[in-house]
Amino acid sequence: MSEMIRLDNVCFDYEADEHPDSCQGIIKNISLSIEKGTFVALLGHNGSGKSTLAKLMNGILLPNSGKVTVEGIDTADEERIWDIRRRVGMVFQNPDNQIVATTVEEDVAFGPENLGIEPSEIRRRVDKALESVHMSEYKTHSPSQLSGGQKQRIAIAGILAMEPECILFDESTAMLDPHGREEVMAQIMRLRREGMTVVLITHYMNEAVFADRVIVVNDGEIALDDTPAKVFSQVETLRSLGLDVPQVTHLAHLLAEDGYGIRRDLLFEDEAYGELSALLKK
Amino acid sequence: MGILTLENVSYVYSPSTPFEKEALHDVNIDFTEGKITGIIGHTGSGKSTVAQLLNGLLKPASGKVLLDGCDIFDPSVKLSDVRFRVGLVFQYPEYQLFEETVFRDIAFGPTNMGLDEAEIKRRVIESARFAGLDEELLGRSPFELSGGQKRRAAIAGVMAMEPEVIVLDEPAAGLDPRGRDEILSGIRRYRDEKGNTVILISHSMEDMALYSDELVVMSRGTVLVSGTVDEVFRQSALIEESGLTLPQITRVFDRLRADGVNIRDGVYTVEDGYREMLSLLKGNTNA
Amino acid sequence: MLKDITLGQFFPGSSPIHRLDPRVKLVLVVLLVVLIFSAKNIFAFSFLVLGVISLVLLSQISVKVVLKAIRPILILMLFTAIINLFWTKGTGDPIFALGFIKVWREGLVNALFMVLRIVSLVTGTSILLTYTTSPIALTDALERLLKPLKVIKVPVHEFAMMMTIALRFIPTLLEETDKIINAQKARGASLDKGNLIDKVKAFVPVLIPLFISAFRRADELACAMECRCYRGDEGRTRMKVLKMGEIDYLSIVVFLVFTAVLFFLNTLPTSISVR
Repeated sequence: MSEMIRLDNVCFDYEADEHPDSCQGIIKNISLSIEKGTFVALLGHNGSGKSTLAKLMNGILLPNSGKVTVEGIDTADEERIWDIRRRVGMVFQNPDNQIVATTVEEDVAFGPENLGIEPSEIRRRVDKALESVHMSEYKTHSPSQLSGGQKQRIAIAGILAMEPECILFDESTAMLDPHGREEVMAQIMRLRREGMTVVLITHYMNEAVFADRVIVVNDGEIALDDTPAKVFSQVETLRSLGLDVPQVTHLAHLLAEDGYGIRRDLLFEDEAYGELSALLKK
Repeated sequence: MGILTLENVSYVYSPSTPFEKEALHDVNIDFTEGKITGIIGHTGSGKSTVAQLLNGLLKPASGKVLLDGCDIFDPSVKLSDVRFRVGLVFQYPEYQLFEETVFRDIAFGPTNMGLDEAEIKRRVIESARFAGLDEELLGRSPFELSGGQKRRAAIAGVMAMEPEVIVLDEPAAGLDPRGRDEILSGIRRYRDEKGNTVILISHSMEDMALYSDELVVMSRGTVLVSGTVDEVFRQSALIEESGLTLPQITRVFDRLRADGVNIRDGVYTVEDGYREMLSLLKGNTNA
Repeated sequence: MLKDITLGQFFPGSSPIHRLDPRVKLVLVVLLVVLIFSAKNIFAFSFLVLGVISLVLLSQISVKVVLKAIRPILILMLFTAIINLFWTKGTGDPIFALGFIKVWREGLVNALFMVLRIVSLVTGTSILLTYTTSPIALTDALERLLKPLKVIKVPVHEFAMMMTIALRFIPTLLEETDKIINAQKARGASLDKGNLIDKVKAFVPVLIPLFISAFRRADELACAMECRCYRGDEGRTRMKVLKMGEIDYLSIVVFLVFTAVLFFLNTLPTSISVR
């Protein structure tokens, strides 16, 4: 597998000018590498630095020291910043504040238009992107008539139309109701199946459990970085970092602490049902 | 009869236009004094309409809203009094902050009520404490606070009016788990100390199971189930049919019970499940 | 309540008028306004009204909707009609006199023509523009028509982008205003009591949050636009390319013929004409 995004000893602070050499700001000396085609969930409480980390990944923010590269391109290279933005798209938290145009299809066309693509090709991409998020029938609608989940699907289509390699979701489900969250998660799962690199920033653990890899950020540093099963089984650590764990993982943890023979890395209802049944039959 | 009652209430949006939509149909809810009642439902289930009916922002198409037995739309009742007695905290209330300091923002409601300065000060400090805001924050500009603190300041602004009933629409929306727990436990602290009635509106079964005494589950403009939290979770099949997601633990234990395991119905918290499992496992070893 | 305000009442459709190039429509509207004010006699006016009626029919917009557009200006029409009726001094005897109020035949004619002008003006512009052209197509057309002004450093693209964003956010901000008003009302704010100064003061709790929210939205939107590679006009293409088609050329020809006929009718001798 090849590398999509790489961070080498990255430090960042919004007030870096005051202490240019210290690395005690929002991001403290983080190094990490994200492989192509993986689905990474970035967890952390508000203010942990997880959103800042995402903004460093597509050159919205530049590190004070260290280096961020996207497919080998340095985000600090001003000449190639648009190459990076095209490769790494971003869907934000507030569905209202990322839709530019007054109709759905015009909005999806916004990205490709900025890239200077041929009109007929834009048309093709817009139709395809709307099709893939199941919003074709709304293409002439005004965004203000749509639900939160639908707006986020439009935002996803707007990124897809730029044909990126990677999409960053910056708390894109936080303002949605459960139904809207499901809509967005269904899109993320589909993108992952189709080989897209996905970075999902969230504080809902029931979304993070579907990732290939969970990175927990705390106070500007990486606290945990492993598979969801391994990360969530560290119940005490996660709770001390102000994060939830799935209910069944918590239950398994309590039972295992009491000495019962039960797997600690349960995440899903089915697994838990199987394990508990087995435990009761012993 | 409880402190606040909806009696055969129906509500229609944009009546006699092509967009006419019945949001509530013959809804009866009785809110018990001094309890925390959670209203759960999907977007479009009518739960937010209920919130706005309770303090007279919307007027029912038919039926009555009774506060302490009095119809709030009776000509002899002043609607502004109703608004002081039934406080409403909207979704994302932090966007309504506007004053120079947190203190003055929290004091906005009490000042509008015409209270004297000493009383206002007492209330501001007390409600800031309920909301979990440090007193030193009161002198700051509300716009310097963190997201969670802003939310708590806005909620304190309504608590300071000391309404007999406080209605909060999705008070924890968009917050991280720590922020959510801080807000919901602050609301409980307020109820425990003041004894005032609280109504929480949410689509999170997990949160409501933990923080409410009573639950009303709404679906398509009607009340599907209501009662104490235990009573409601015993109807888990009905809730799931309406499209709401049950807590993960409830689903697991429902499946175990369906297999014939002797588990009480309505397990909805990890602690519940843990206790049930322990008694079963110990029972097994004894046997 | 605020949500009910409709802005740019566009009715989607596929009538010949809907399909016209918005640039052509913009130019034709300007010319139509000129024509409306050059009609001079009963023949020209009848022809003009005929033209406007055919526009309405072609656009497939219901007459009810058109009447709705006229309703708000009824008072204005009545006012201009009355002024024309009583303040036009004619030759010969007045046809009606009551004390100092005298009405001449010329006044009657002027009043009638003025009403016809206003009706044609409102109907013509709304049928050609607002009812059948989406706001975005209109902004687009403006941007392209005004493109030559870029040579003299007029930021045409930036203005058009600002207009698009404004159109996009008007409903959002109206909804937000509604929400903030309700929230402050729930805190006991009285927004409609007292004199003007009191009212302005009472709106501070609504305006400050609204401004702050608008700035926050602007900030986030700017970031989202950058993420989607927006860097101004340079190197930007458009999905929808405006191209003049048969129907556009045809409409221009029809319009020119219409103009010629109207000017010819203006020259016909009749006593029923504007003085």
